[in-house]
Amino acid sequence: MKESVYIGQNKTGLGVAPRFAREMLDNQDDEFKLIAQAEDDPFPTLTHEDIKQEYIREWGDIGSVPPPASLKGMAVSGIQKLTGGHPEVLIDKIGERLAFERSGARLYEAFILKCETVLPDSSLSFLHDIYIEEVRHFQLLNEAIKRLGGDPTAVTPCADVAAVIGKGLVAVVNDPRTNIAQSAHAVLAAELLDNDGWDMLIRLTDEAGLQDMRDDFQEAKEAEDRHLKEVRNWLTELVVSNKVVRHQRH
Amino acid sequence: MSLDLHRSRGYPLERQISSWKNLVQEPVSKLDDDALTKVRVVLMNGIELESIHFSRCFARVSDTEMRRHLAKVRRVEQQQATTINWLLPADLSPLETTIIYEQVATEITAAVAQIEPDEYLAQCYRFGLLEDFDHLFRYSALLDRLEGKDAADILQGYTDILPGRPTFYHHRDPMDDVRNHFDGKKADPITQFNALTIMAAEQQTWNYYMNIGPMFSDPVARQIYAEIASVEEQHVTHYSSMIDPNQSWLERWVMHEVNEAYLYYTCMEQETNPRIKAIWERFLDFELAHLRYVSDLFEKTEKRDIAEILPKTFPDPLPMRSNREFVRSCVLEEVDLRARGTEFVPAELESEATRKYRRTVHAHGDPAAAVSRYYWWAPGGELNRENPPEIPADENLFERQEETRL
Ligand SMILES: [Fe+2]
Ligand SMILES: [Fe+2]
Ligand SMILES: [Fe+2]
Ligand SMILES: [Fe+2]
Ligand SMILES: [Fe+2]
Repeated sequence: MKESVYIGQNKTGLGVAPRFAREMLDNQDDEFKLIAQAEDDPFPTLTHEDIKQEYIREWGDIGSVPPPASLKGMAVSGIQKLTGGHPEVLIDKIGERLAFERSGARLYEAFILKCETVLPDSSLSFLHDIYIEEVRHFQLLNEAIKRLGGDPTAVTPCADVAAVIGKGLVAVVNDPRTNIAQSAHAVLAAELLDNDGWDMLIRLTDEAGLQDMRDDFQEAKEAEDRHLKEVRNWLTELVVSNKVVRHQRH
Repeated sequence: MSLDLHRSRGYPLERQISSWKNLVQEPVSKLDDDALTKVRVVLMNGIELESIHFSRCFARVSDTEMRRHLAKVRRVEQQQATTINWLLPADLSPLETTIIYEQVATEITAAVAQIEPDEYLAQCYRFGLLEDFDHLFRYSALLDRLEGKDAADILQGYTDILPGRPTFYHHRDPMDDVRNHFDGKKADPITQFNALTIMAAEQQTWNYYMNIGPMFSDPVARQIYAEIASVEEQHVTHYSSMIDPNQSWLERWVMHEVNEAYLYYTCMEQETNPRIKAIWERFLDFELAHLRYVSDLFEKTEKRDIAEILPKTFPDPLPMRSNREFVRSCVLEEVDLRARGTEFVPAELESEATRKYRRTVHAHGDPAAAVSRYYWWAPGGELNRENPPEIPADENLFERQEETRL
């Protein structure tokens, strides 16, 4: 890993071989345009958008919210009534946060490891604090789903989608070649999603009248606000100075 | 099934080619479909890939006329492979798909090990089983620690997340990976099917790991895929050496087609997703036509009756289900077995060549051991270990495969 951005041997872009670039453009005459389309094509106007639309109309979905582990539990909690008869929306969204916080905790483990390797004698305690909070949020969401009569070990559709969104983040932070700023960018993206995710949960629990849960989520959201600010500030310092700088607490 | 393999004609070969649209069907659901449906998808993709691989090898040593016959059937096999492999959904990460691959290796090998009539070969299956079962454990640790996901959501409880023979010990000198082969003239048809099936499954696992290994940014994952792909290379050596080398090429082709047909029949009988079941049924019909085509070719070319090599009916379907008790007892009883030459021996009798080989490959550490150091599965993942969610009291939320009987 290199710590800063530098000028080197990048071979992308036409500027690297202008003569070749000119030659490529020279070939762009009408003769080639004519052969691009097969004369016998029975669907000469079919576009990629047409194909996509066909599949969007025909195919089903990613999957469903699992049935509550205990229907009785649901009746007891009154959740059915509280959520306007649609507890699955709330369970789906809490499931999403749960999966995201669990993956987020792993993301921080990888990020902290990289930071410790590059900045061995610096204080990274703020990252450790965030990590611990991500784990705590994961546990809080486990409890929340249980209280709603759901199964916290199940993958909900939104959790699944969130994991697909997060794939790139995992890949960036775990790459030994990405520097601290590049990795922090991925972590920032995670925190941005995290932040909006908690807002959504507050809104949903608010509407369901689940006051205790709403308060817990509000507290988590305040922690997430801090995460976002800290990561954002550090990333700015790293990019602006183009070197590894210690994080200053704000 | 009272299908007469010597007579049935199947769906006409000439009509087996599909459009691109029909090749790309709606994938199965990662969340809602049964794990065993995905096991079947991965298994049958492997079977089709082997049919193609075999056909290419045969074509290399054939004249132009035979090459044409092979090309004709192979084109359909390639389309079948596409249809099936494209049933995997894009929300499975490559590592999650890896979990399915090792579930296939565990449950299908376990099923085969229990029905194999030849005691030596059954031992060979149990030996390989304990290694793929261990791969599943190492990959589950990687999935949890890298992506923050619980492999149990893929395995759906059918398969344990427990160590088998540690991956550390899988690495052997090549001389200790070649096994004795059965005699095609005497072997039970199921013996031939078993060997073809497991060889095919291992071969596609090899392919898959070799292709996706470089897609990981994490160096530990890159090392683990390198390490386990190497074990799969050994497994392909191990299983393919069980097959009789004295059969004629055409005879082997017949065995490939009948095994394909048998496995589609097996899948069709046990499939719970009606849409996927229809695919198995259709492809069974395709394979019966391949079998007819090749049987005719065999009789014409070799001037032998197909009944000499081909059973008249299928054996019972291969049971696809959880083999938890069998796998656990194999682990506890045979974890310390090692291979030496063609035999299985206690650990202390391993060859010097294997010990030396292992020292070389582990010279800088063993990634499979490193990623799973202190790992123990807990529901919802390792981060739940202190505070595991309780198991719901109400059993069986859905009617699942485990409740359906053959
Ligand atoms: Fe956060
Ligand atoms: Fe086939
Ligand atoms: Fe394996
Ligand atoms: Fe294997
Ligand atoms: Fe075939």
